[in-house]
Amino acid sequence: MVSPHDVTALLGDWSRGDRTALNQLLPIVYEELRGVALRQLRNERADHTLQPTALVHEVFIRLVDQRHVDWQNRAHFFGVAANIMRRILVDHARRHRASKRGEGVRCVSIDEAQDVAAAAEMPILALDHALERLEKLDGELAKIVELRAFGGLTIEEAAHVLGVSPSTAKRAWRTARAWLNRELGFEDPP
Amino acid sequence: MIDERWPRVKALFQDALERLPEERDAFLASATADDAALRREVESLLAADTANAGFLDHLPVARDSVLADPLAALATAMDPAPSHTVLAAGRRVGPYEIVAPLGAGGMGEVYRAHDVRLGRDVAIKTLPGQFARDRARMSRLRREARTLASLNHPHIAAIYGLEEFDGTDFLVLELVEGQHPAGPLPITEALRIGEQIAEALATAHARGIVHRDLKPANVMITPEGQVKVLDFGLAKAVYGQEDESTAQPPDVNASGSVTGHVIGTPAYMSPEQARGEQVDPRTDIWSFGCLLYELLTGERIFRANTVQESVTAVLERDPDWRRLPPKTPPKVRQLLRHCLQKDVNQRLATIEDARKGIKQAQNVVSPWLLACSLALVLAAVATIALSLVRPVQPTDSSQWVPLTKFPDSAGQPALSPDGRMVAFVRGESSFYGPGQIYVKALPDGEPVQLTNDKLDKMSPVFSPDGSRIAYTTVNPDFQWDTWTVPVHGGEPQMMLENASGVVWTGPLRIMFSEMRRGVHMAVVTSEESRAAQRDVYVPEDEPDMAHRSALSPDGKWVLVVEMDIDHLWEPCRVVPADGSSSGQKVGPPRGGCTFAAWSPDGKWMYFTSNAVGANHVWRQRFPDGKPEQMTAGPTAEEGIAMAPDGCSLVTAVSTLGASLWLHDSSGDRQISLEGNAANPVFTPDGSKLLYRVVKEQPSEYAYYRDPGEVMVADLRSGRVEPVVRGFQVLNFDISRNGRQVVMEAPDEAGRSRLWLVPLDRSASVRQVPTVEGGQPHFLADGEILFRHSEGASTAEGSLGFIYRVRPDGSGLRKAVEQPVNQFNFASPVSPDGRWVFGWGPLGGHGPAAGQAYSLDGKPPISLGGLGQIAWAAGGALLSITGSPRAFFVPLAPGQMLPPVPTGGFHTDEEIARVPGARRIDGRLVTVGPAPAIYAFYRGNTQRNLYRIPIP
Repeated sequence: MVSPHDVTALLGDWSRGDRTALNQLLPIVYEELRGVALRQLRNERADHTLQPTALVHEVFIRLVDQRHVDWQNRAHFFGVAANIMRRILVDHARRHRASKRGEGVRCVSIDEAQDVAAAAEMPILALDHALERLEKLDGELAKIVELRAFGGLTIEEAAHVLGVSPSTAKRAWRTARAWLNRELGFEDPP
Repeated sequence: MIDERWPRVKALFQDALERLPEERDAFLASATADDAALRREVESLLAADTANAGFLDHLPVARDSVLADPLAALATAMDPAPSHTVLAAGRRVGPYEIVAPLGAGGMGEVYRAHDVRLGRDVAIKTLPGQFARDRARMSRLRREARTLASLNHPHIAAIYGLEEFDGTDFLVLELVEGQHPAGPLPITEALRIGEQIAEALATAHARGIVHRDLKPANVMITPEGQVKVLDFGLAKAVYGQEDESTAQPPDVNASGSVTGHVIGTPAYMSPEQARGEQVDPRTDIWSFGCLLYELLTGERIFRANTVQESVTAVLERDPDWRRLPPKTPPKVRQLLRHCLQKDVNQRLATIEDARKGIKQAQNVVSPWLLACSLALVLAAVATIALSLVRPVQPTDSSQWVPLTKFPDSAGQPALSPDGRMVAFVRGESSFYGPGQIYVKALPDGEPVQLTNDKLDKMSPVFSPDGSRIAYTTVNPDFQWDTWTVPVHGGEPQMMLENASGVVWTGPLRIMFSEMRRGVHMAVVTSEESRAAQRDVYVPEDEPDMAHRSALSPDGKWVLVVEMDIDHLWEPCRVVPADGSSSGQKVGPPRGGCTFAAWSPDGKWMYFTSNAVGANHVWRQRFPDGKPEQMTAGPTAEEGIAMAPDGCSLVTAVSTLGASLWLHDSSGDRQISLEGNAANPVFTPDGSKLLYRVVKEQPSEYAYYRDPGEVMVADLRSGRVEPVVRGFQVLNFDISRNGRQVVMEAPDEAGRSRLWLVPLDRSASVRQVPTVEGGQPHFLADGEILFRHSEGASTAEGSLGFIYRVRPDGSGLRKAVEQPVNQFNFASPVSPDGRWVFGWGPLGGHGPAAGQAYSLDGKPPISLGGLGQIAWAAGGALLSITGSPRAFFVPLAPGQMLPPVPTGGFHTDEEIARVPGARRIDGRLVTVGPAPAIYAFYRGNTQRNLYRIPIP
């Protein structure tokens, strides 16, 4: 088990430019996030949807020594965690869909149908696909969506992670949002 | 794909956004004159810009910034495009020397700075560059800042002024350190904070200044408990009038603050603010209502995932008043309704009225508390010797904050070293019993189950680095071991065998309890590997068990929680950590002490003890203050996890007692009406059921040290009355002819005695002369079996023995050769009067087990460490202690014992395999004249974790 002190030190090293620190950090954060996410996905009643940002926060509290981390390092941590959270959710949504498919055709009650909807699998998969397309088009836009949607970062925090000014981040966010809305068919009716 | 086009599309889209909507067409037409496809592309993005703006907000559920730093709130995000100036620590800006950044907010950066002129620390907030370039705006802001700077009130964080040095404009603000208030708070605390906020608002309103963005993030509670309202009027000063707002819907960022021109935060925004109308002081009254509601309930009054939802909620939805704590004073409920009138003209007119309302409510709360305390003082006086304890000053239970809300039971809380997580056992027992280890991030994380096995568990504790939870398990062979499980989940690992109640006393050093001979349990300390082990405390009497220990913060003393010879909890004990003596008893002098802890400064010892009947929290100054009772009332509290700051403790509060139910041919019905029912016994004809009413709540062991009246319920009429009014007894039985009741109660000198009374009360209570002892049971011939405890010696046969005596005190003689620890079980005498069931050491000195002892001198038959038998008409009940099931096993005429596997029963499954065994669900079943008629406890004990503030 890695102590909060280790993770905090790794974050510090990484924000000072040490890439090997990131390589050490990723698996720790991944394991931790996956643990809490899967536990929550298993335990959660159907009427609760997963709250990725809450999970990321929970893991941060567990992994990082709060007294020895400044807000810039926090932003870096959440930048990493946002990407991992996205992968975990997409992975889970895929499995969930696969297992539903595996059950074959049967009657589904209204309650069960709602469960399926509540699992929010389609929006996540659809969003993930759209984000992949956006990545090819404009990496920065995709990244800011990831940070905000899966990591819960504010514009300012995302700006810090991306190394751009908050006003640039704000424009990027708005552009990305419009692009995704259009891709996912959420345009205003004419 | 349109890769090569994209940079152009993006630039045009972003340029178009900077323009007014009505100008965009013309702009696009000229910018894309030769390229219709490009224009369509940009237009489609513009069309998608405002559509479904909440789509991404639904996914992330990013209600609050995960990075929220307590001090970052000084820079409440309000700006659509803040500049990104960075001031390095050590840099001088005029008279201000930058000390450290406090956080970044929408308006700019906030720094802690030292004012070298005035020798004080201040917060300075840089302004977005775009404002600095707008001369008209800056001059207005300067005027506003002067007005704001004139606000001088202890509950308002001062704005010292607007200054400019080296081309950087910044606001100089009072530096406030502390925390934002977060509900649910105890009612009195919420009202105290509310009153101070109202005072601050009243002062500002009197000068015509409206806050416009009142919310928890703009309120700070200093370490001294003082309330400071931050950023008064800044929203308007910086961003101007609301009537400049455009028709564009407000945007929201992840911290919940609105960007764009509508000022305020959606969840706290008044309806008129949400509509973009002019506001006056009454908008603050609305926000004040939202805030007070949130402090009381811990919930945002208008919860929503998106701004649109939030605005809709503010405009249309009625608050859920049911979420207010039940003890919210009516005056406060009324006040909240007045503050939260959607029609501004119906709303409370002045904040001063709100302040007065709170004041009145506080005055109502106090006398009630006083009366409550007095009543408890009287109750305590009646129960315990006043000279030994200080008067009861219980904490107000309305201030207790629930941490778990299980429909069943959670107990034995342990806090992580940083106080941010709580671990506990979810299970019925407050000692050891079936259950699982859970962990929960405080205050409102989801409880996470970490174990999933059948071992009985107790005493969870965090490792010093907070990464693991160690806990004690008790296996069916009554072996006590310690396991650990990672906080973030994973396979539990055995840590130490024959070690229980582990606590860390250093990074690699532990203290724990170790079983010696039999069940004799000592407190020892060692390295984590068990190297360098030495004794801390070995109970003097051999079968005593020291189950839990807590090291004082200075490392010199250890609080010990122990059980006596009868395996009943003793008062706690404080012993020197070096093991040089057995120390002394501490805490309330009588009653069992089940948990102990130190305050972080080592000045106080905390206990949970049942000295006044039920378990409550007590404390005592170290080393020799008088014990003070901290909690009281109808609930019972057990377990202590001290918060690292010493300001609160976490305990398990059980809210319901046990009622006794009867099952017969007409179904199940409740027999006992009030209090906790214990020890049900049927009269031989099955027409009546006798039981005791005790304060203490039931455990699966039914060890009731708590005395209570014996009640008799007539099962036909339903009538219930005491057998001897006011006579408090510990154990009792009814004779086989149904006429006599024998009871155990102490005499004036405190010695256990036996007492007799006819069930029809045709004579008064009389003592069985000469004998001392307890746990009586009638034999068929009218003789009484009872157990006499034979003191503290460790010599063989000194645990206590079962004797028999005639009701007139004659014929006293030992009935069973072997020593017996406990004989207070239901129906422990076989129908032929030749066997009795008790709990005692195997072979007279081995580990204790439930055993059938022969009254004819035959060797005892072990039913196992947890096995129990109770004889009933036509058979016997077999059960495993702690299991919620019992099995009725038919016995042939003349057969007194079912086939028992060597070594006894260890699991329900083993009992279920006994021929003819029939399962009965329900705890501590007592069978009546036929197997189909039985009494049982309804499992209505509910125990949850609460945080209790320490006065």
